Amino acid sequence: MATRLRLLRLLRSDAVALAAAACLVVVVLVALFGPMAVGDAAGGINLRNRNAPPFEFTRPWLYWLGSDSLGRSILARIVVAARTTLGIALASVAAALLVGGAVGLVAGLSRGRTGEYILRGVDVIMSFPSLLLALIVLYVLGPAPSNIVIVLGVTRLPVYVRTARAEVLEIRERAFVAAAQVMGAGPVHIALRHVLPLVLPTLLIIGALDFAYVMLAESALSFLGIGVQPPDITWGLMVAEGRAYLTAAWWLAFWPGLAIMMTALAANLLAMWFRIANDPSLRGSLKARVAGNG
Amino acid sequence: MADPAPAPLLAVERLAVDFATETGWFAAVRGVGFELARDESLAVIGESGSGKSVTAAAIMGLLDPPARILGDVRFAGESLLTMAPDRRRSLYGRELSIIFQDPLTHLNPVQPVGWQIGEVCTIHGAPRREARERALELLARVGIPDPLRRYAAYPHEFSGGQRQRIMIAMAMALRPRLLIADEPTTALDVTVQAQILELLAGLREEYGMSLLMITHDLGVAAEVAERVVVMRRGEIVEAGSLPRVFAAPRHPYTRELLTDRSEEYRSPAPAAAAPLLAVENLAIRYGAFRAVRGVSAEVGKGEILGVIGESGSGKSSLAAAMLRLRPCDGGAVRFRGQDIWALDGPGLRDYRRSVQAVFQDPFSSLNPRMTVERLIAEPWVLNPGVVPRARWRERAAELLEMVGLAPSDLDRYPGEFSGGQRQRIAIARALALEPEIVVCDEAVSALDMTIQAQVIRLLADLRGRLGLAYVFIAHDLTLVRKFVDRVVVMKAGEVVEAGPAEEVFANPRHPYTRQLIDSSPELGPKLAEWRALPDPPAPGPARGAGGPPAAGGG
Amino acid sequence: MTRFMLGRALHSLVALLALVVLVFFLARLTGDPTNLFLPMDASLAERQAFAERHGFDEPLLVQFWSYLVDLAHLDFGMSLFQARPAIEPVLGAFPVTLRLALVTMVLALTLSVVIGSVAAYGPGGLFDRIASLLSILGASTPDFWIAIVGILFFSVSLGILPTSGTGTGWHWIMPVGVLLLRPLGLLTQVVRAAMIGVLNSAYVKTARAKGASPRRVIFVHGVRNAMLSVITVAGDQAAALINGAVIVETVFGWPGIGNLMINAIKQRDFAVLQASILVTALAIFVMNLLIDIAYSRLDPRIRAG
Repeated sequence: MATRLRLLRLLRSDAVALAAAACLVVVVLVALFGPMAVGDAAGGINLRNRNAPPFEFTRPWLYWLGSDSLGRSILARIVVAARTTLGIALASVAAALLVGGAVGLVAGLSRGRTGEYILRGVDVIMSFPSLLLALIVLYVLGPAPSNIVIVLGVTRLPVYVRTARAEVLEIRERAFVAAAQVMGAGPVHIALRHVLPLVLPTLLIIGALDFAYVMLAESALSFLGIGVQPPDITWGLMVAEGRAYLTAAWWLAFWPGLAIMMTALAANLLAMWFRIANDPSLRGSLKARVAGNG
Repeated sequence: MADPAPAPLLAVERLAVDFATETGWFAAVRGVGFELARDESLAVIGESGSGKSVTAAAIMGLLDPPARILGDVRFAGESLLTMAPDRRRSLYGRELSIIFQDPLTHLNPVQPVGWQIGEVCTIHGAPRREARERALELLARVGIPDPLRRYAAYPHEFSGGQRQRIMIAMAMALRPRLLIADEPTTALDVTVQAQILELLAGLREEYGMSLLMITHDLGVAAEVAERVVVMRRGEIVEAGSLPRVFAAPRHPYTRELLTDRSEEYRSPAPAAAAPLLAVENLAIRYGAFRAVRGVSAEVGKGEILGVIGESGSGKSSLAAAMLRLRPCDGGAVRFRGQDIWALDGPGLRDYRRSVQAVFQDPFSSLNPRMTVERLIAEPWVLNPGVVPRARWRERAAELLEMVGLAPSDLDRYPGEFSGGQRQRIAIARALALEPEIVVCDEAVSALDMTIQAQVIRLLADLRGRLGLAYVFIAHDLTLVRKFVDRVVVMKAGEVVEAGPAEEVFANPRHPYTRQLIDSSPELGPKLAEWRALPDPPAPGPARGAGGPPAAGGG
Repeated sequence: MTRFMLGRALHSLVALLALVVLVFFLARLTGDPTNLFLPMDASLAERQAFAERHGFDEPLLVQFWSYLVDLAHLDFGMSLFQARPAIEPVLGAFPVTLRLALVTMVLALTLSVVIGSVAAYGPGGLFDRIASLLSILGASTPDFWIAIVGILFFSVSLGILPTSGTGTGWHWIMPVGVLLLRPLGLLTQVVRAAMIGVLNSAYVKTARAKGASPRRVIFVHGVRNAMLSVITVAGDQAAALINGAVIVETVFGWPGIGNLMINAIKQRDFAVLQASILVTALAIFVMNLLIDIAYSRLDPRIRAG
């Protein structure tokens, strides 16, 4: 509790991190409630507002970012696509974090060779370009959103397994684990009470960084045409569709790409900040630098 | 002010070092001044946080911003702090050099050691060939066998003692006039420490250099130094000739350091103890390595068994076996006559309740994410029925008071306590199940001398009050001498000598026990000699004496 | 050292085999593999002829064996659309991608070592903060989008750079620039962190106490130790570079292996897709092996083990 308050106070003192957090909150709110607010402007054909360039403030506000050749509002489409984009990224990261964290925990706690074998298996996934793996799986299994989540989750799995295992191996050697064993603690108690609470913050930080990464990966897949398929839309798909009209209507590809970048940037900045705030040694050096300058 | 005498080799004047921290400037060194003459040997004595190593770093120009240095450091009359960087670099390594506590991290892991020794010569202008020859010569001089072959070896291929020899060779490469030794033997076993100190003494004689020994160990200081400076919390509290300071300390802190407290640790041994925990012919293997071979020992109710040994003696493996943390590869550990690995159900619960532990590192033995209350209550979570849940907080507060902490500390986290305080929390946790035996695996080794004394006094006191038995594992003889009832001396996995403590220490029968006793720097006899001097020798150069330091510095 | 290298090589081999198995069984998982290999509108006769030719009516293990034998001969079957062995277009496209990736990797390593070292020398300073921000920006920007924006700006608006193709040096600027984005940002951060760690290390203290100059400290004691952590990450980056190459080649119309794969997918030319994926994987494993060798050259602690 006290640590959470301290974090909030620290967050308030860092303008960049605060802005990133605010940005993420807005994006999430938009994804949750935005589609209701824009109604059917995303799909509805509106010939009066065809090919509207951005910044024509005489049109209704939904058209301020422009519209496509069918007169669909770009802003409305970005809002609707936010839900799919964020949803896929979140689901993939959550799946990778849960499965990878659990596997890593087991690999780290198990005596004998099990941990070693798990690590080797994970290395196989790791040493292979994730996009190629996604290409082949989606080619064979078809580009349904659930398959995309599975593919992205599997390609991100190694990071969590490796990190969780490495942390567990380090924590396992600390004397408080031996102390708990002396008190009569079994492996389950040690895993849940002593190891997990110390591993979790690290995994969550990686999760935040990964959220940005996975969102970019999904966008790339959709851009290449093997990710999300119409009539579903994601930001990556919107960029792909806008690419054909690049010279005539640049805004079709520009705005959704910007949305991807801003969201990824906010997630990355926040994860970076959280890592520093959560690490006493790094935090000390940050503050010390401030004192040293003043 | 003109000084007619030649400038001292090293003069530290009103030195103050501040570090920037989260809460502002932290004064690590405040108004420290001392001098070191040519061919002289000075010991700077202090515990952790005394600023002794920071002073050494300031002399060697190893402090960077955000550290702030005030005052002056003069070498042969020249100010090291204000001279041109090029000029200063030409002095370091050539005229004054330094060795550190942990040679492994202080040697570059990816370069051959011979190259690293020779580098000192090449930096200061020697051609490569000459540097190589000098390095080979030095490797032989510091006692590295087969220098020609070992020249190309890397730091990780040497033992701790050998690495320190390599550091010394590096420092000696250009026959400096001043050697700073920053806790050079702290990480080493006592027998190795004695060898390193001997090597340093020999080199000093051969090269005629001055020595600035930074140490927490009064025994080491007494062995090498002619004068001492005692530091505490960044300030000099006392300075003078070594016999004078040791025989007639003026400052209460120096007096505290020098008090022979061993008598205080003594507590009455039980009459005839029935064996409670017994190790029989124990063997432990790690692959092909046999860590423990045929060790037998037992500890009775209310008894203190000391286990003494250097690193690699197998004493910690013995502790792990006693605590059922590691299965035996031969022999058995018996609790109340029963093999602990044959126990289950109520028997195992009884064993777990009765045998508890305190470990060496107070920083890793407490989970940093748990409050003190949760830490102390954890044994009760795991052993339901010992203390009813409603009484947890109350009982935890009682335990804290018993080990000398306040009940208000219950809601704090381990990170908010010092090393000594954490070890007290660990002891309180070990007592939570009202055990009969506490296994202390190097439980005080990581603590400062004065804190060690406090913790051992607490343990002795608790035995008197609660009738506890201890298995007290240590590498440091000085502390256990009077504290333990019986002692077992281990070497390379075997017991070389066992018996009542007083007998073993007074008349060691095994040569290794004798070597251990002879290697640990012992003040007693020398102190008696100094105290018997009719007139304490005059303190060294009067300027060296601390006096009230100028606060804040220049 | 040889034991270490053999172990690593074995791991790479196992990984490669795992991929081969994965490709084989994924292809059979969908039921009738003719669906995968032939276009949707292939006639029944075509399907039958295809199945017979490839022995799809035989037991799975027999199929797997003949698949392995074919692979050993670099026989990936025929490309459906180019009427030649699938391996041919792959071997034609591979050097293009290799050149692009090598140029990018060399640039990324050089720039990141320079930028990262300078940033590490004054952590928290203006240069460090700008470098950090830019590298986060690099990690957050969708590469396909920045490629499009680049075309819009440099080719459409300013008309100074070509939109696609590989002819001249000008053609290299945008693809390399886009591909550089991710590895440069990441490697800069890694170099910076490693260099800060090295500069605060105890052995650098020793070097300074020997009287070594700052330049000697950084280049003799610093770089080699810092490179150890850089090299481990560079391996993962080499794999990630292929991800970027697929995008860059698609957007800029480069006849590389990424472009080939995407076209193969669009044309449902499974033989070509399979060949290009296995060749790429092979290249990455060779790359990882080279990196392991470099690592063990630099770190004597590995060499001994």
